[in-house]
Amino acid sequence: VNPITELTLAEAGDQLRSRSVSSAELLDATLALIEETEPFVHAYAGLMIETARREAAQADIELRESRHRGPLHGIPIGVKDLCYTKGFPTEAGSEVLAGFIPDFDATVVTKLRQAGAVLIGKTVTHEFAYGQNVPATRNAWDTRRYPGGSSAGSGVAVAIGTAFGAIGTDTGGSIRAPASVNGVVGLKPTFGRVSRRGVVAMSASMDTVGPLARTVRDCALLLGAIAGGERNDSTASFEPVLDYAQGLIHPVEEITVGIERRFFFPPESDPEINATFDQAVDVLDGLGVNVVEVEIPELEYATPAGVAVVVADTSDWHRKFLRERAAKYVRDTRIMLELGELMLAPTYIRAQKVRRHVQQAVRRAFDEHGLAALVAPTIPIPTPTIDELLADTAVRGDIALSLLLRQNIFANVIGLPSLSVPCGFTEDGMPIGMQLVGRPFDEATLFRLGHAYETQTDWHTRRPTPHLART
Amino acid sequence: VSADEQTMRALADVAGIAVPTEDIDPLLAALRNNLEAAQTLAAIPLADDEPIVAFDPRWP
Repeated sequence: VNPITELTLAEAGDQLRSRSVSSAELLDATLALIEETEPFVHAYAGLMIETARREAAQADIELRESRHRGPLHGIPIGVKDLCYTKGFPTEAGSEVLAGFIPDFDATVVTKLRQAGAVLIGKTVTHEFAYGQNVPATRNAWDTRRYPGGSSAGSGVAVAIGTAFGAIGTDTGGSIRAPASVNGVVGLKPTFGRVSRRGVVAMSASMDTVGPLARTVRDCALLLGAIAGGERNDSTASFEPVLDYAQGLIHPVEEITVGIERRFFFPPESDPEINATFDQAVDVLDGLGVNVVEVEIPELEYATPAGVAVVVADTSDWHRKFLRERAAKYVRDTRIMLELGELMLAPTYIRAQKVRRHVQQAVRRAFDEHGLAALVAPTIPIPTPTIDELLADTAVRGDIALSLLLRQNIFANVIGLPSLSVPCGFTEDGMPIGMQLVGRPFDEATLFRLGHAYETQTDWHTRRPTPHLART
Repeated sequence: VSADEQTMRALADVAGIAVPTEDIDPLLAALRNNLEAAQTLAAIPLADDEPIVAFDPRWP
């Protein structure tokens, strides 16, 4: 293992600034690891080697001239293949978009380029992020297992070291799930915190774009670079972008977090996961965080409301393709798109009202208990194998995926930020994640809590080596 | 509330989509799940909750 690819994003940035490593060296080490691991994990849909080499060379020139653009300058980053990349294919994991080459960059890509990041490649997504198919990507810790979705490639690449950070999208857990099952940190930002412009859409009111990285600090650095308003995106917020990494130094004593056991610990939840989560909460308690039990029965309404909105919204985006290229879709994706076409308008409106109802209930709970965050297991069951997932499908109500969705989609339904951090491992060596769900635009507090937790644990430092187990 | 194949085909016809034969059974199952979810949503006791997507008359 090349020690360069073991660095965190922040460490790599420090070494670039001190000139103990060059961007070209970071890129070479990353590409070498990609060559070694891709046959087993398939994290990348496409590599941007030529442009990445040019960007790394340019970064090295600028760094030599002390023109430092910030913490991402010269760092290899992966971008989910849902984000437009000018002049490079963006296929969203689908035959429907085969050969599509955008003529502009997504805003998130533009911001990464402006920050001096080296875009190493496009990471694999489930087809159009719908989570209905099984892409080639495999879990970084056990290639027989679910890699998370839909930002599967981003989670795996970060875990295995073939990107120092990556961009994902999250409409119902698609950043947090791959973060959790691959043992990395993932942030679903507040809705509007990061522009969606140039990102293949599911829902105009639930889609979010956010970072995955090996540490909370790395996620904070990435968010600082990609957050902010965009005049061509009416959903992007101009709320001030903070120095999230600088904010990590603030203490977490007296911060109050809530646990909603009735909702987040359904009967199907796994005792080993629950016990691990309770230990993680004990660590927070030891840091001086107040932990209180709360009840928010309205959370039960979030999943049917969110699914109704996503299904209808997504079908609208695909309206033309469904009529012209239906046979190109994976069947289960197509069925969901057909379903959205059959939805009745009153159901959609009712779902939007229910979202408001849930939002008000959660706000009341936060206010009544003085909460900074809710805490919960990111996924309440062990990571299933691919075979287990193939044995059933979401259309027929698969238990694993519906639990994953239930545990995560409520944050999208009401637009709240949610951070998943590694909080342990199962007996058979699979990572477990804990999610912290905060107040709107208060990513800073989630980062503080997550970072404080990392200072007391070493889960985030463990690295998988599936390429060593290929025989 | 339920839906049969004939109802589903009628809805698809109105929507203007052609449903391939291989999609009919799973789409019908999904539609039934969706109608159940719609019932669940309809039964939620809402007061004067406005839809979460609001119209903003300001020029963007």
